[in-house]
Amino acid sequence: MYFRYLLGIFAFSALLLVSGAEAQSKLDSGDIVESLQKLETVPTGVTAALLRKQASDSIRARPGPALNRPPLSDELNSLAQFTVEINFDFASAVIRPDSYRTVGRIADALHHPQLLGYRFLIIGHTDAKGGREANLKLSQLRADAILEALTTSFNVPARRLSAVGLGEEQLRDPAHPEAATNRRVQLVNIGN
Amino acid sequence: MTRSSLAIALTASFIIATPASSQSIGYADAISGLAVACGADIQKFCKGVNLGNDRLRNCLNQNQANVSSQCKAGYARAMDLLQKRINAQRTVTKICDSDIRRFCGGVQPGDGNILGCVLLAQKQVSPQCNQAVTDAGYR
Repeated sequence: MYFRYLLGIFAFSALLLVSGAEAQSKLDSGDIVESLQKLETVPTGVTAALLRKQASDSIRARPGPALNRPPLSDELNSLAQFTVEINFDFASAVIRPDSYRTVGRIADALHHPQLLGYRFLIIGHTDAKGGREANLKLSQLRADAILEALTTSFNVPARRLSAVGLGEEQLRDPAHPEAATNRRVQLVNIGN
Repeated sequence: MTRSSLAIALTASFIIATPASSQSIGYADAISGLAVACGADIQKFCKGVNLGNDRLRNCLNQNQANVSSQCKAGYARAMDLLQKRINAQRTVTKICDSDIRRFCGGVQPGDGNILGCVLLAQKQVSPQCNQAVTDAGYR
């Protein structure tokens, strides 16, 4: 059982080393070790501050409806990353106890030897229900809450993490802007 | 949650949470024990209190007259398990100090580089260093 747990962490961590589209196929045990060895140079330039500015600019520059809204940042999609679902209380940044384990899994991945040298963005996303500005603010508070849990409960050094909320500006399923799949937390490897 | 499924969940969390030798368990397993034992009490007495920065501990303490004994025990156990892993990870460089000097002297310091060297030098480093690395969940 422990070995399968370790394999799960490896798979989780592997996604943070392999960029973009390749990542989803790297979950077979045979490929996992290979992808961990195939360390690619991770491009930087993406920062929390930059994304925050892009998001608020986006709300002014693209005032239209959420349906089929293109993503704010194509570059984000090309970076090594993984996405998780974390449940919060309604309209709140309080993490529900049934999601504590998921935050712990993020911590386990960040403590994996292969990832110790990298820094990460924690990105909060909402669906398009409710106000656009409100969603931007809420997603930032939620990303902040996860960062705080990781750095104070799970021993992740704060210098390795930054948090940003992108609200509904980077919908996972723009054809269905109110769908649950848009409500997610993304962890992105932004290099060393 | 029915009583029998709660009993199963608690038993399961205890089985997961019993490590072999001095090995610490991971953060996900440690914290999920807390969530199972205290989920109901947190919703009842600590709604709006977030994970992190001892906030839950303070809230559960303030409400200790009403908090279930299962939560009290579960919380204490989870904190103990978390601290074991944190301590195990923090002492690796100290326990491996002489091995690092011998085998990883040329390695640029920085998270991961030295640990990576120690992992690769598994056959050369001391048993206590290898044990520390295993206990910290790095292998």
